[in-house]
Amino acid sequence: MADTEIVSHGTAHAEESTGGGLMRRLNMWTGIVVGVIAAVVVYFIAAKLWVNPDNENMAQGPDQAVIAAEVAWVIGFLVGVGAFVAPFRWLLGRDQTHDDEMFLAGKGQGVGRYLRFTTDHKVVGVQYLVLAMTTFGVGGILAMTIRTKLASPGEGLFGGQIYNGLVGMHGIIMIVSTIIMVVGPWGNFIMPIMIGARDMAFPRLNALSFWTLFPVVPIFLSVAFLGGIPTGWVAYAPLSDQAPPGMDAFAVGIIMFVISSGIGAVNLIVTATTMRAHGMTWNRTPIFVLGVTATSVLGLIALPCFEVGMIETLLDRSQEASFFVPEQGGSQWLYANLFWIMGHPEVYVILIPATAAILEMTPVFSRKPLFGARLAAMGIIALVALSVLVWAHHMFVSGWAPTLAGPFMLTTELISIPTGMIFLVLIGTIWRGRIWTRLPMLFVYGFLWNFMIGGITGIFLSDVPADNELHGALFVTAHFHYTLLGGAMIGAMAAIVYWFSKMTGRMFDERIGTWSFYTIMIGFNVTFMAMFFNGLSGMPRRVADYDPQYLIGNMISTAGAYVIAIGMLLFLYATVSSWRNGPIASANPWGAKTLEWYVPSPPPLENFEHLPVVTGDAYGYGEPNTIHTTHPGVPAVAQVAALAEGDAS
Amino acid sequence: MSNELEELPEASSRPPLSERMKTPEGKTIIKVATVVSVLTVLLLIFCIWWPLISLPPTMSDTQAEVKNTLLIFSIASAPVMALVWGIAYYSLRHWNAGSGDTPPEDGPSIRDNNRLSLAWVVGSALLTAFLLVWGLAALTSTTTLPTDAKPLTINVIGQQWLWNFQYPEDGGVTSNELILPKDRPVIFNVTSTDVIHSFWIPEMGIKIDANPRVTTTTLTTPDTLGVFNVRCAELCGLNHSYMETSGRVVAPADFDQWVKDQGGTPGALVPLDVNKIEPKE
Amino acid sequence: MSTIEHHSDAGHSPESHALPPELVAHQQRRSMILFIIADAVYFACILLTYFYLRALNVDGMWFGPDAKVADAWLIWLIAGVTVLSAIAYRSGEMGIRANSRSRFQTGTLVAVLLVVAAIGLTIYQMMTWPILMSDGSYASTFILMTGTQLVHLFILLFIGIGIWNRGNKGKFDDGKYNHVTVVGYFWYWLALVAILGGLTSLLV
Repeated sequence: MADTEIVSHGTAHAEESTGGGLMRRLNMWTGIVVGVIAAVVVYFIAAKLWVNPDNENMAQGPDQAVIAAEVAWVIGFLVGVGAFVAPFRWLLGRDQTHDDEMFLAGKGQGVGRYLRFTTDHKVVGVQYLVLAMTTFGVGGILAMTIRTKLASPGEGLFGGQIYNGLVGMHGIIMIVSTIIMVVGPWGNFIMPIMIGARDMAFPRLNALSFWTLFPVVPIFLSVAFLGGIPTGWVAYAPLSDQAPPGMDAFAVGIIMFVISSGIGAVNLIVTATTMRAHGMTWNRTPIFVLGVTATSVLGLIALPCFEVGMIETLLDRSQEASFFVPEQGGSQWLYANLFWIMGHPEVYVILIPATAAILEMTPVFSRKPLFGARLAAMGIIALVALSVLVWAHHMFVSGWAPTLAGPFMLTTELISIPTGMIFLVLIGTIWRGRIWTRLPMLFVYGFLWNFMIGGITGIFLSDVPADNELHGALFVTAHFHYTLLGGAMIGAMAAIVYWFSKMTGRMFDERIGTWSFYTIMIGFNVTFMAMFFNGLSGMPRRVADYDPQYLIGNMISTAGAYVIAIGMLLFLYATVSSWRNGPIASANPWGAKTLEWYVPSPPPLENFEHLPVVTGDAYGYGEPNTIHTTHPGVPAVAQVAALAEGDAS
Repeated sequence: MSNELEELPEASSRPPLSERMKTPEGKTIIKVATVVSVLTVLLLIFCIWWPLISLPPTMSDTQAEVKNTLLIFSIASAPVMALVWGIAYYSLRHWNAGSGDTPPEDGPSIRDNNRLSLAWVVGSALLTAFLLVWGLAALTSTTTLPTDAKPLTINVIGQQWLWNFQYPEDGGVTSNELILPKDRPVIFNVTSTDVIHSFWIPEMGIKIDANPRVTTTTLTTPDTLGVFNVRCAELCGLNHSYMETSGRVVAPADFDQWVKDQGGTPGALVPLDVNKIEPKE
Repeated sequence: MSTIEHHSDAGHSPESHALPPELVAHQQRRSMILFIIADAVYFACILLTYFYLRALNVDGMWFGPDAKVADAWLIWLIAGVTVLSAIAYRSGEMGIRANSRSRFQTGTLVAVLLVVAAIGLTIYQMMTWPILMSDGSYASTFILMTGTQLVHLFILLFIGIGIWNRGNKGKFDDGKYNHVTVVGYFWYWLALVAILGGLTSLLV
């Protein structure tokens, strides 16, 4: 070991873990208490310092107090949850013992480990799943509020200010949920097992990335009580400079989110590149691992741009700096560039892991090898590479650099080639397979339908003259919902159903799940198809009110949204009820060949008793002589037999 | 299971096409082709109907270009969608192994088909190239001024939540309604006094952001008499959804009359700096 | 934040699942490089801000009427101190590789003290300079750059004290110095940023 100290410890082999020290007393609740106290104290100190009634720049005061309080909440929470214990122990040279690490990994702690700074990657995965589903639910409620208001023209339920704030909050909460909803739960839970590792490369960083994300959710919720973000989640300057203090909370939340996802991304990249099992070359690495790695690389290099954009927005608002507000000597196009240099890669950060999950399960349910696995890998890598070169297509109508419209149209349309490769891989895998129409396969078909429409309409928008007509219209809204909800979200739900048994040890309720699938698909297509029509006929995005000519389309959209909501509730019910009392799952209910199916459901702490050795890729369907794994010392045939036994039980 | 699933012997010497189409694999391909063709026709009908029914009336050469582009793109995408969905549908129909509790036996081990992959990539690249060339041509034609007529310059100033129009070539007339002469190219110089707005005439297919401290430009030639809408397409605050006004395309003589009614002089150049103008309340 | 992970008790349990030390060392180095890449993107965005606003000079507010150029001697003094501290650290790092504990201790102590000096000088610079954020884009960007560097120096101080203290406790020797290497990456990166940031002062 580098830098380790051999400490002999009498109780090392005892059943009860005695390690942990201070960490035994810290959990989520202490974090919340310390965080809230810190936020309140700092708010009042800051308000005393900066909010001066005689100051004519009074408007700046609350901004500074809100920023200080939100930052204090995050730091207080992290202190309270114990995130800084290990770094300080490192500083002091008092490294954690094996018992401490076992305690941190959640050994022998029951459900309590889910509310602690637990380092086991499987605990982190479950935490991410619950958090993502919660935030998705919040975002969904906001979406339903928006659609309900838009069911009829006129003032309706509430006015423009509340409406604009709701649109912004719906946007950011959904963006955050969709970024984490595959990489968070399954990148953390499944990916290390899939590559034959016992944990992530840096288990504590893994816990840190989750517990840095956790306080972000209350921050985004606090936006609603600070006046909202009536700018949309893009937070374009100079409108963001006019916004109420909710904008400050939003910006602090984004900054923390970027830090959290950066930590997570580094961990995932290092894990996937250094901890693959013996014999797992890149050619034998499952496509999901590749997708998660590619996504992490993309997120790592794209998201800091948003962080800079938000820091500069905060300084514009609180210090009258000259970054983005033209009256103060800034440039709104600088913000737009910073935002979209992050913004387009971010779309692929959402999309690629869901696509990779779909690619992972298609061979399982077609009982055929992944068709053109190299093509799939090339497609994903090309998507990553191209996605950092296309940002200005979001600015075709902004007036920024009209001479660059042609080049950016070129790079944007090039994206259709790798996307086409992924479609070829999917239908090539399905072709002549034995289509096992279990629920995940239905989601694969749903993905093929929705994502095709989302992709095709994206090509419409890449064309500059067409974009001049359609940009800022509901057409765009419908397009990106087809890719992000219809594509990525459907992929994420497929992943939930597919890996549910591995995470919980129980089978997903496919009867209700199938109902929810069809309900969501119908509702989704009704809602957003109507939006395409309205958008083509000239209805702008993000409007609280509209001309009566768009009434029918909006009513259809709202009705469809309610159908989606019913489907989502069914899915939620199926998830919760299966988790509580679904039928017990075998180790490998799908007869799949990736490594996670070789360990019990749910996997034990540290996953593998003996680390596997990989001898082929995981898609050897119809190839009786290829197996994906052997354990050293155990004959391969015996392992296959044991696996088959696991199926039967 | 149908016999289509059976592996074919390797065809070392390829029999004629008519013979190959009689083999089980050939029949499969014919069936798939039928499904894809039917689907293509259905999608073509939808793809042509879709823009035609939804798009607002065409009132400028730009919008005509946009409409053609949307139609061409829709028509080009119909076969692609039909191919993917047709194959997926056919597979689900013919190779459905049910939803039993245990996995069905494995299918054939087809790992790759280099010729198909190459054809697919080349095909999508060609399609992309076509769309790109079409797009660049449309972009050039929509951003080039016609040379046969003297263009009219109009300053468009967005403010929260109003549009102001100035006619610097007609004695500096200002208006909240956009009046355009028919068949004369119009250059819009667009700016904003506060936040970013987006100047959009859905009927003319033009949109350009109104940025504070910057002037952006767009152009079009109205070619149909009638009423159109001017909207804001960029979220600009509280009353963003009400930031719209109407406009009219009128005959050139009516346009001159309108300018006189507003107290201006047709053709009298009053250079105005759009950044210095105080908008009307 | 500390990016250092360490597994302990390699030989403690007969069924130990700890990773091989050379793999852990490799992972630690790679993670630090990745963090530096993300940090470099962050820095690049600030540079983009600087040069974009300088090129546009909206309303002549790149360099507002009340703006003044920050004292060049102070900028270069801070950069110089940061670079010196990186050199001192490098010397300490070479010391531990040659199993010279005393050289390592001296080098890291000097390096940490120089970081303290750089922090003190940066705070002095921020307290005394004649510009506010509202004095234009140059002032805003430059203050942001300085503030960012200050935050990084605080993180460096934390890690540096840790390295020095752990060295005191005999945690490193000539076969076991990966933490020193990894922290070194961050140290040299910050020295590089100090120079690059200083160079922008030539292009006001």
